[in-house]
Amino acid sequence: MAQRIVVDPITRIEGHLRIDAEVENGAITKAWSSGQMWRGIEVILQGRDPRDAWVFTQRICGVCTTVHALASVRTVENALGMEIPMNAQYVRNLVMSIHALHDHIVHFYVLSALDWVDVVSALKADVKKTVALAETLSNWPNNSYNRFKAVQEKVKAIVDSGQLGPFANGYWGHPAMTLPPEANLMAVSHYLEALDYQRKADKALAIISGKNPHIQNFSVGGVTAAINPDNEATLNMERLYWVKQLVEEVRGFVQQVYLPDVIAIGALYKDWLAYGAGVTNYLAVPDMPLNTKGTAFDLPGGTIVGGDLKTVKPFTSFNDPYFKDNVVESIARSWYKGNWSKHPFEEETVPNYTDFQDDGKYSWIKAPRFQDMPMQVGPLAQVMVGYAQGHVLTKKYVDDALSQVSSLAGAKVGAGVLHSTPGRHLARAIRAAMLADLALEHWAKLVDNIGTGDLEIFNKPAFPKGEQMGFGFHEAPRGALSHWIVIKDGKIKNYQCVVPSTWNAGPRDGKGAPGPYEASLVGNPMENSELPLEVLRTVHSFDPCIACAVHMLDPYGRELTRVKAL
Amino acid sequence: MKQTEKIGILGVGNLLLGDEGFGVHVILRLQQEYRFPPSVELLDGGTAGIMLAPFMEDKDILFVLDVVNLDAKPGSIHQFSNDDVCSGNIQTRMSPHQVGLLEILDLCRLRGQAPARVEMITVVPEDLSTKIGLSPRLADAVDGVIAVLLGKLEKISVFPEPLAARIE
Repeated sequence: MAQRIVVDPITRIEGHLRIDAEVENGAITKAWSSGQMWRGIEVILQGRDPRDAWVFTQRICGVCTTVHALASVRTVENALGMEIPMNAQYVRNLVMSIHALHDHIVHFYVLSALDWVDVVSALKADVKKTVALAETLSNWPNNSYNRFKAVQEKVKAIVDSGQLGPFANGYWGHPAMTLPPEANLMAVSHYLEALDYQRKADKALAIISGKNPHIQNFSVGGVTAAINPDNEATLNMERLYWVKQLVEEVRGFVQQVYLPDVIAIGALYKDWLAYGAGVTNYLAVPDMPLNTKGTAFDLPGGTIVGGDLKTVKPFTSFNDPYFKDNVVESIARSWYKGNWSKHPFEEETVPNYTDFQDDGKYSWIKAPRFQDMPMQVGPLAQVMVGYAQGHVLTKKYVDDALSQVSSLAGAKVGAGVLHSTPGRHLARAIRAAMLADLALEHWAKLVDNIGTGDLEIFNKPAFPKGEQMGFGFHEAPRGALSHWIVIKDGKIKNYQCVVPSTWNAGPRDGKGAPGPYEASLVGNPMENSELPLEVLRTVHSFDPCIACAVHMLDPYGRELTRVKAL
Repeated sequence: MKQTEKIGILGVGNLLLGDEGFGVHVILRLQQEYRFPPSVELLDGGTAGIMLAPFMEDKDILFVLDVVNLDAKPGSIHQFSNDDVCSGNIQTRMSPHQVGLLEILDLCRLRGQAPARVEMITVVPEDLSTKIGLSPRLADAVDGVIAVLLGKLEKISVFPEPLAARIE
């Protein structure tokens, strides 16, 4: 008989993401993904000045602040039919890519690595063999005997003291943890190092954006980061070179540590390459625009249907009707009144909480659909769409990573293995490697453009009487983010955010088609229902972003996740 | 106290969720009303999680202003130090949003870079619904929290200079 398990983080404000799964014969047969709180933050925006929307939207979320700022200014510009100066595009592209680098590093090491890495096992590692293993992966200077030895001693001290700190209550010794001790030691060392590089990315972002978190340098029509090579108070060459140096250091970590680590984990957990594909319709939006209009991009976007790369169809501009006309949100299985699927411009949501109904309504999250299909978004979608279009940088990194996975795993693997739980991590690391290269390229483009004497950063927006509609998208760290606005007489009439995790964590739709989280869990193995490590692996691989950021202190660490095996 | 000790005042919270934004509201007030010596750095940390680690790691003493999950009267002020509190665990969290301050402090500690002293000055919230601005009780608590903070700063010989007029 099927056993039901529920993974449900308890918090004072209604909980966040709840996953229910049915397990039979050691594998998941059915899953439900449920957002356990309703925010309606968009309501706050109604009646406000559209030029201020980005300041509010970036407070929606504590991890993805800049992404809502970027999507929002693009949305208002789209409604007004505006272009922005070239410098403004490059500055925004730098902000976007550096933020994503930061985000990807943190997601992997702080949130996900411990799903695969057994910290306690690192104590058993032979330090010399760890160095040898690391040398097969990269030339990172910190992969040294002394460093690994010191890390091992630190872990020993922590374990001996019984004060495991952030490692407490991990799934240590779980039968699904199968990395050799040396790989665990190497990964723990990199885990501790990752924070140094997030700090560098953080600093680079603050130099360009004035403040971090919650950047200050955007504006509808451009950016407010004044550029003047002869002025100490503006974005000048000294600051730009400081940014460049920091990004180069971050690139080193991403390309010599993060990507090789994920390649190694993919190869050493090769059984897992068969799990977690789920929905293989992919959607990514193009980003890093190369002109003032947003009709050419350095990061490709488009759609793929049914995992078939030949079906790829690109999005080609910030105004592409192929995107604009095909997005709807379904509330058939969500706690809102009615049973409709509507375009974001037309949505009017009235909450209607029932209870958790397996065959009825069970989530506050809506189910976005593209041409009525569920779509997976995120770095994997972007890498797939780029690979299918022959995007040069994507092809280079994917082919290189797959050949390394093949040689480490001792079996040839193709791009098909990317449709999996480890594949999502690999795609994210590949995207990070690409973004590191592209950040530096766009840095150079910005400097070249300033060198031509162009110091423009802003076109003034003008709001005509009457009604305008617009949409804006951004390929955020968690995937395609879009904002949708209706402006009336210069004020916001309606505002909707269709966020990446809505695409991925959304529930079933009117036709009963499950969302990507739900579909990806089906078929996952489950060793022990009381310790659902396998569920965490697959859900974490999407980089969930549901909570929308609440920060209340709990002095007794009560904000724990409840696992119920029924 | 050594002159070189670096002091951080960190206000956290979500401005869009009523009282949840309390810590940020206090930081904004402090910035408007006082001039701090160079050894003191203020940060509106918003709802950033792990992104706050760099700010914490280069401080010797850290004051955190936040709301707190306690069964007590809304608006009441509660103080904790780093020895009083314990964190949850990171791994079973579903999203990076759920990595809280205490977990970040743990990580900093693991790296040998945590502040020597962490003091949390917190209030119990009344209304966490989606809106901008504090409930009346929490608005009243801002002065109390500032007074507690100034008292603590005084003990370590830090005297912020009140600015003559507040810009409304």
